[in-house]
Amino acid sequence: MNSMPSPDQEQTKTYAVAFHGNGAELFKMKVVQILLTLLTLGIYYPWARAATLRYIYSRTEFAGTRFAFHGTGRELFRGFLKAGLVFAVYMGLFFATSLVSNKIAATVITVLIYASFIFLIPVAIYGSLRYRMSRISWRGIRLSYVGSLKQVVMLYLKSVPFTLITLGLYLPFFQNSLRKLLVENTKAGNLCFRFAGTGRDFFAVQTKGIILSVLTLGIYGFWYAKNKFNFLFGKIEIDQDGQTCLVKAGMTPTGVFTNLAYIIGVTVLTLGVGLPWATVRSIRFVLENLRIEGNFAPDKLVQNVQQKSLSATGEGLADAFDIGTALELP
Amino acid sequence: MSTGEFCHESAPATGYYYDGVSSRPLPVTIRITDQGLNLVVSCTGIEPQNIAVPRSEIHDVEPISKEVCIVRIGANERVSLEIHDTCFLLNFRRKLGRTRLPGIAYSIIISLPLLRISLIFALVTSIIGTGYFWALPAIAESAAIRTPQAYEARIGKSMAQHFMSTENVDTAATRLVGRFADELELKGKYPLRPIVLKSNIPNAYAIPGGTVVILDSILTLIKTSGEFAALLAHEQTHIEKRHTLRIFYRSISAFALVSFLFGDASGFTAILLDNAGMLKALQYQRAMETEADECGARFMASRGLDPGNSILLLRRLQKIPQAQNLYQWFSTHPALEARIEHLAKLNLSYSPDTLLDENLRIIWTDIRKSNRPPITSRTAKQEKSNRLPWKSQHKTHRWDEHYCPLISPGRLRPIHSKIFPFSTDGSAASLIREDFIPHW
Repeated sequence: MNSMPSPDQEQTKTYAVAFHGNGAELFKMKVVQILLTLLTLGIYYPWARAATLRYIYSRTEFAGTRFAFHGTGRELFRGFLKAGLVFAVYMGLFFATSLVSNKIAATVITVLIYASFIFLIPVAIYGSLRYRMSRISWRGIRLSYVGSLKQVVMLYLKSVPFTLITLGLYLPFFQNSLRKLLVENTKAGNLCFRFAGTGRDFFAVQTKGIILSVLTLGIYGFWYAKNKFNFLFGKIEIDQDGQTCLVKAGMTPTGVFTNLAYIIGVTVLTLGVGLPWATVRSIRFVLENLRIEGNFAPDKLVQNVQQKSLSATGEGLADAFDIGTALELP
Repeated sequence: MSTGEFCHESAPATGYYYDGVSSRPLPVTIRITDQGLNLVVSCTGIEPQNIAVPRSEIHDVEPISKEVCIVRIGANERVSLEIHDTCFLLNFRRKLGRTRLPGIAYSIIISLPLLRISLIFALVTSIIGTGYFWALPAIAESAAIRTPQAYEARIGKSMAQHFMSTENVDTAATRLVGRFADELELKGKYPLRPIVLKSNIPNAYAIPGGTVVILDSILTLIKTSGEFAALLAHEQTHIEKRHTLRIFYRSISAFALVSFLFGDASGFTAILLDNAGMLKALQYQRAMETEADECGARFMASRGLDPGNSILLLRRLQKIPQAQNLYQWFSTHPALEARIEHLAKLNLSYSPDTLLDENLRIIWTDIRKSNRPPITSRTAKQEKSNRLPWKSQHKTHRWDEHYCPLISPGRLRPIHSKIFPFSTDGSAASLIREDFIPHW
């Protein structure tokens, strides 16, 4: 463990993130979890997920201290039940639509169902982020998401139609706005986050990346992945009592290639048995390319927002519909 | 940091205390008592603070490495201790027992050696796998067989209505194919209802409840009425044996089981299991196709039609470019050559019914012409009644399971009898029937 820095040494310093996870430990956990999930016909899944999150966060270290995940299987189970209900409603609607004999009416109903995803996705993202942040702590300081659901929904309502109209050209601007909204409403005690990226810059990264990747038959993809990661994380700034620190993202194309080759090789050659090792490697690769530089004082965080018990429905919805925000660990 | 070779219960441990208000780590000394933990928290410039934490307030003691464990305390686990002591966890469990996390079942199993866990895992997955590959299809098939005919007919009707509403129906050809089927007397539990759709793809498939969808390109591919009769007989077998319904039930049950067992059946798991299921479904469908080939040929023989037409039909299908490129392993239809070989090994005999053959040939000619009215001299009354120009009074043959006993997919096997071509045993004298009364 890194030694605690003294106040005199807290001026300009670099704090790295480390991941101490172990493929063998995760493998053993996963085997037991799969076993219990099978024996309980799937009911154990929320507890398995909570245990995995607890493991991943407790093996993530920053400034000498590990993170902690406080979510429980019971909370996730309740959230999954509610999310399952929503899922069942949608399945029922689709099934009912198939029984409608009038072709036009069936088409209209189907379009309305898909249109409702404009509301469902932001609800899932908001709920998931609020829950996940509230269950993560570092040195006893809980993270929190303080934004409102209305902000996320309005962003989706504004951006999705525009993205469709522009045939996807607006998408990088939309994604940038979403990221900015989510990052700037995330707090860690008295730490505030800012996202300095602009839609124009992200559009340039995405356009260049996609076009060159296609032209080079995928070879440029490693540079694209690096540019995208460095943009999404390297534009984050941390404000602590008026002092600004920068998040530095240092991913390299070689690193992307090596990581991808390892993941594919291990997973394919072991027919999936090596997935825990691939997961650990992947998380370590992402985290160890991040560091904070600047006048960051790890001992001076203060808990100023306490969120009361939050439902894990958003987490369940996000899991059921496979929606992520790229702000949390898998 | 305590690093003694043996763990003394009363030896204090050291670490850091986080009060949940500030991130500043406060050095702490911890002693384990019968009631819980006694903490002595040091703050710079302030007297050390004694805190007693009862056992009920300790939510979790999690080892994060060999030397470090985290203790979570209080409502919402607000307070935490980071203890740097290799003996703390052991001493804690000796004196105060296990915490509620991560759960008794999990704790028991994870404490077992990896080899034993792996053996238990292999056993459980073998049981699940056996269920998925054998029990589940058996259950699905049983459910399909027990499905009421009326319910199956409703499913088929909905699907047929969907085709009728979304595809281009060739009504003239549909009517003529219907007459062909009537003449062939393909009657069983389900009345055969053919629909001819306009399509560039030569194909035909059976829908539960009796509907056979024929894509009209296949009508140009097939040259003779005998081959077309073989096609209809093949599809009728699929209907009578409820093949489509059985596949449908099996697919749904497999998907439901996977989703239920694995919860998150996305990604790698779903791909793996879906492909495994697909392979098993391919075998299931191959057995069905073989059964349909055999029963179709037997029906042809029973009606006095040359069962060799089944082979001729397959040879026609071989000429379709995609048919030649299909690899047996990934095709829902077994390689045509294997099917032809299987049919050729059957030793089927038949008494030619030339009257029926002739009737079918006439209707077939009309089908081929399709959009033009049939070129036959018929009276207006006959046209109006939409019947053939002569009466066939031969005995009605009904589709009978005697001609093709139900063969389960797992037990379907080629009949390794003498490898003879199809043979006839009738003489030419019986070709003209005494009850034949032409009405020109």
